[in-house]
Amino acid sequence: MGLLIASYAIVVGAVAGYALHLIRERAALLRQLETASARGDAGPTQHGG
Amino acid sequence: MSDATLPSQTSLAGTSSLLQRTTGALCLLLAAVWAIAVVQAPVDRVQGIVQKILYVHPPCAFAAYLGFAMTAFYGALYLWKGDERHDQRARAAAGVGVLFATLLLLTGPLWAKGTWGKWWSWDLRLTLTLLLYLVYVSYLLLRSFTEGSERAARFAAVYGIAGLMVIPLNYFAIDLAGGRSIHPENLERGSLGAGMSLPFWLGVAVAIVAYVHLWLRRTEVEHLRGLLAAREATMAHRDDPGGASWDS
Repeated sequence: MGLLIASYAIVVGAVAGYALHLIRERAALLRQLETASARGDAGPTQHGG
Repeated sequence: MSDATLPSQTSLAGTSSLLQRTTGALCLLLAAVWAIAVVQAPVDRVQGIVQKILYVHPPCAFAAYLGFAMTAFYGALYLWKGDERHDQRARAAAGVGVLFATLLLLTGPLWAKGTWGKWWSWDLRLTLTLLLYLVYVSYLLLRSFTEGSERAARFAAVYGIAGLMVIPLNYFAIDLAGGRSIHPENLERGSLGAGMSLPFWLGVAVAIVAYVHLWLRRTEVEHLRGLLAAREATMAHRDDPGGASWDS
């Protein structure tokens, strides 16, 4: 019974965990793109800023 | 990259989000029905309850096969059309395929321990599954070490297509072994016991829909990474147009 439960727990946990990881990564990339856009709009004089 | 990329990026996110939500909801619904079917499935007289790993182990194999076939398909499209989006799709397909191959290699030994009394055997099917896994792990390693290189993307596409040859070898390994394989034979029509077909095919459906859902998400992440890298490269060039680059 333990082996059976472990099998299903590993599969369901990995798929759900990976989906959550991708959701978080997408959110982080969208934030970085927004920041990059804001920096781009501010122009080339923003070194170090 | 110009600022004109932002609206397309937003519309792409919207379109893929709709597909992602649809496949996500379908996956949850199918998984709920599958769980009930697995609980209600009869217990095997020979193997006992551990035989119910059947409803999760082969579906992981089908999802991994699909992933590697899609890696080859989009790799071929990339070689033909040269469109970076096909390369992103191929990369995403390999990433999610490797996830399911990992799950295949984790659930297999759990089932083996319950039925054969040992975690692993250097049986032809098991060895070829490990080889298939390592082929696509190598693909991902190659991509991670050569981020952004067009030449590496073309090489990876050829590698992904060549790796596809291991799938039929893996699938027909038991026939090739000529009865010397310890692994059970491939399922054929009517080979499942009474009451076992529904949970099995539901498991396959859940794995395929879960695969598609994760692939859509991973493809979007790959696309956003590409946009970010291109934007940062443009800004670096604009801020320092005469600066040194890796290419110079």
